[in-house]
Amino acid sequence: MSGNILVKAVHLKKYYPVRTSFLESILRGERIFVKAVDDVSFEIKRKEIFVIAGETGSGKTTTGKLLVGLEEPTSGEIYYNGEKISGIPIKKWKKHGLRKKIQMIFQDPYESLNPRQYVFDILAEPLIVNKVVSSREELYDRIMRKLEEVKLIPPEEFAFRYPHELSGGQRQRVVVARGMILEPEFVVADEPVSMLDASIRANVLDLLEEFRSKYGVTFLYITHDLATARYVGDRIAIMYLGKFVETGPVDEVIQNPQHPYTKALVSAIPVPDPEYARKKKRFELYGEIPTPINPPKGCRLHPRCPLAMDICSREEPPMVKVGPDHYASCWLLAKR
Amino acid sequence: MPRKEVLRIEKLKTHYYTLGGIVKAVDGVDLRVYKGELVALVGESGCGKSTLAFSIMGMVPPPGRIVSGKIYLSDINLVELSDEELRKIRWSKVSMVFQGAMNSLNPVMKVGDQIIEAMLYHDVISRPEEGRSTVKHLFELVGLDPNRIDSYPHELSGGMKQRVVIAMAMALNPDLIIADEPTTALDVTTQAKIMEVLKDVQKKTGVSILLITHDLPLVAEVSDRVYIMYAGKIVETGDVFTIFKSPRHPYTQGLIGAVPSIRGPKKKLVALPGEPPDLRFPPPGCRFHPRCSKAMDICGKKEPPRIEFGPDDFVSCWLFAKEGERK
Repeated sequence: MSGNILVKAVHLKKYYPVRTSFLESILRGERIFVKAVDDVSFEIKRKEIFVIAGETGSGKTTTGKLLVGLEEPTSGEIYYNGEKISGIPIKKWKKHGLRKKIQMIFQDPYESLNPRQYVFDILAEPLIVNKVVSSREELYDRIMRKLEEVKLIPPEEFAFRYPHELSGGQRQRVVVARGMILEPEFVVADEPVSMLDASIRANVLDLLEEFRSKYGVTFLYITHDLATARYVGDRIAIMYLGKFVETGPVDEVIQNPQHPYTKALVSAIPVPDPEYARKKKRFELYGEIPTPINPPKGCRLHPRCPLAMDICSREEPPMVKVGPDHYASCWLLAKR
Repeated sequence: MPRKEVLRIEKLKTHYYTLGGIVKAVDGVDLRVYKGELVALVGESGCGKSTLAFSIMGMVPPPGRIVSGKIYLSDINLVELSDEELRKIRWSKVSMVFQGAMNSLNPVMKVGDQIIEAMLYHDVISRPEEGRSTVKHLFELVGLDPNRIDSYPHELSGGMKQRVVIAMAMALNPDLIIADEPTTALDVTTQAKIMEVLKDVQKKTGVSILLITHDLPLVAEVSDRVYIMYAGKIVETGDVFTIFKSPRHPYTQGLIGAVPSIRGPKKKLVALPGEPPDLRFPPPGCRFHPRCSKAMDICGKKEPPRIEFGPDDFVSCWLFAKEGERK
């Protein structure tokens, strides 16, 4: 059944309980939850760069963590290569050989590297822990090769440096190298360039593309930045308060957004063209993103949506097909 | 019609005297802001743009100090003022909105009282009660419900706190607001709203804004004129249309070519090679030459001259110098 699909999520949910006082819990009669991810289903094809985009608190990072096993879903299933992996506790991932196949690249190159380790040791650790090298020579070769692949050249010069001796861009390359050192099949890259200066972002983004074309790696690219999403991505899902509101081919979703939230998001993004920017009409929502504790009933956007109708506050909108492989979840688009 | 200058910076040098060497963070900068203008100062991290802002505010942290140059704020040279005189000018003539300023609000004090405190300090009012109506007006100016005057910061959303900070910057009716990465770390939709508030405040009051940022698309969208800063120097300036349509300096061209857009054909981005230099040991000649694809022999030897195309319109690059001068 897997065929072309590498990763599949079915009705994925992740709720975090909110700590309340004993009295409050009696008065309320029920526990309250942060619904970080609330019933999300999607498929990621082999060799695809799939993007999840959304603002702070949308649940995009939690979705990524669920896929790499850093969080366990409250309910729903995750399939990898046709096999169900969502029930496997994280401690058994290594035994199942999943750790070698599924990796993550983190956002902050300043916080995600051990400051007391040489670059060499940072890259050696996953190889040793997962017992994929049999000799010191092999270890050395693989690390040097990976450093070269992330364009830290000459590799011998970078291998025996500490993270603080590297610039932000070089550190992020080390973070990418660490994510790729086990030669995984699927990598979740969570905002891999958001801490970098604009002039060097493209370099790191191009690395993802290179690993895809060279090794056939499949990526989930998580970002708040639709411009970089468009640059690297194939398909995109726009996330709002724990739900996907629109999915489709990246260019199609950005050029022809159908959901009011996507429209607002796209029109808020500055465009590096002063003439166009002065003509452009913004589509605005009311207020700001609410907390995912007790999100609004019905469509989660309805209190902020200028186009909201009666039904929006009562019933959750269905996912509607609006174009080839393009779906949006909005009552305006549904046939009633 | 000559425009009124609000800020004029001449040959400013601000250096940090660290144990590891002298960091030339601002090294000979000229910059002008006219009344009612929104001027953007653009550069990558570590180019010295925040140090320039601190220099204007008279708040350069030690071991840094202004070495030479002049900063005129409506004809007063700030560099010559004593700390006490600066304190009076700060906030009343020039105020600042910092990156993450909304997190610098006092959490145990009502937001209105925090603005009133600044007004008391500058003797605009003598009793706190007198300030309340002013604060309410300020809140209306920035699009906040005036009844929020007695709210605590935690009762407000991120965007609302940012509005409070803008209201606070406007409290003493300054001539100039320096906005240092005011929207970094905010979501795009919030960012768009905050920039709208700033522009709106500007339209209503005529305040000038110096926007310091690394975000080129944002600059394209809101600014009138642009200064491009690299390694402590201004490499190019011009109006926003010229800068984006026909950038002259290879660094400006590189920056624009490296930024993805959600509009237009998808193009291959070309990142600038290398990294910005260590400002303790900047490269000789043009500071950009090690990363420049068009570098010539002379670029590594002599500092490029400033080629003027008009008032507030220049580039510092050997490519634009006459043949005879390139030696």
